[in-house]
Amino acid sequence: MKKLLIIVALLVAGITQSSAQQKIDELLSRDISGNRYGITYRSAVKRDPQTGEIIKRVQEFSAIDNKALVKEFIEAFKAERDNADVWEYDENGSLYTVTAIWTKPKRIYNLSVGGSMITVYAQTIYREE
Amino acid sequence: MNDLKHIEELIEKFLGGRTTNVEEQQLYEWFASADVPEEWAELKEMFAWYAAGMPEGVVDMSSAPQKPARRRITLSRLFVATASVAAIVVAVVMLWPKSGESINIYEGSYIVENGVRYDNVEHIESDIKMVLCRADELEAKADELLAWADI
Repeated sequence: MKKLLIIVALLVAGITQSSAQQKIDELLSRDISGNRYGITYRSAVKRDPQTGEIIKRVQEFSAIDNKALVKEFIEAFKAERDNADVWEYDENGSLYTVTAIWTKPKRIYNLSVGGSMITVYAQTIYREE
Repeated sequence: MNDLKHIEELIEKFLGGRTTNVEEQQLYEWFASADVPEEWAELKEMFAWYAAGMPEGVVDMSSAPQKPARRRITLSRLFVATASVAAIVVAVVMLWPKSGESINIYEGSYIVENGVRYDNVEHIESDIKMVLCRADELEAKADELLAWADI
């Protein structure tokens, strides 16, 4: 019985971990798939120069004049407040930022909203350099 | 007498195809200059023929002891072995995983701008470097937060 409880706990932990950032990732992939003006998406990969293995993957998403999108991203970031290992919110004048961090693997998600511009960073570090 | 014994040993080695070039030269010179025992008269003729570079039709070799064709086989084997090694080296060089210098560390990166995708890494490299640079700054801040949170 004790073993069963441990297995269930591990499964729940696994499901929670796999669903973390899911909403943000969905928004990122949804908004680059269509032919949408005012949106720039950069997917940067950095590899080990010796082996070619991916060390880091970074997604940079930016959009202008899209209030609906800003709202969706803010909600998605807020939803991660309890899932992230570290979650930080800051509002300074017209600049609103949220940073959510997960470890193992290290994932850093950052939302920045200022004026009519929204920028989202999502990076996964597979191996420290 | 010792000289004859040594020459006899060299002849045996020669006929067995085991002599070195120096030893063969020694035999040619000895047979060309020395008083050769009567029983080695045919050998004298044979060594003279070898020493002359084996010209065709000069000597009747039918009665002379036959030197095994080892040297020619060795040369052909050497050629085949060299060619094989060269082929293996070429194959290894071609199939070996590319070294650090030939790997593009940004391979797989791309940009989508207003619905248009750009994935020629050489063309977008400067943009990708900027993204990674900004990501490094965010990572440094994240590390501070993790340290502060003692994680």
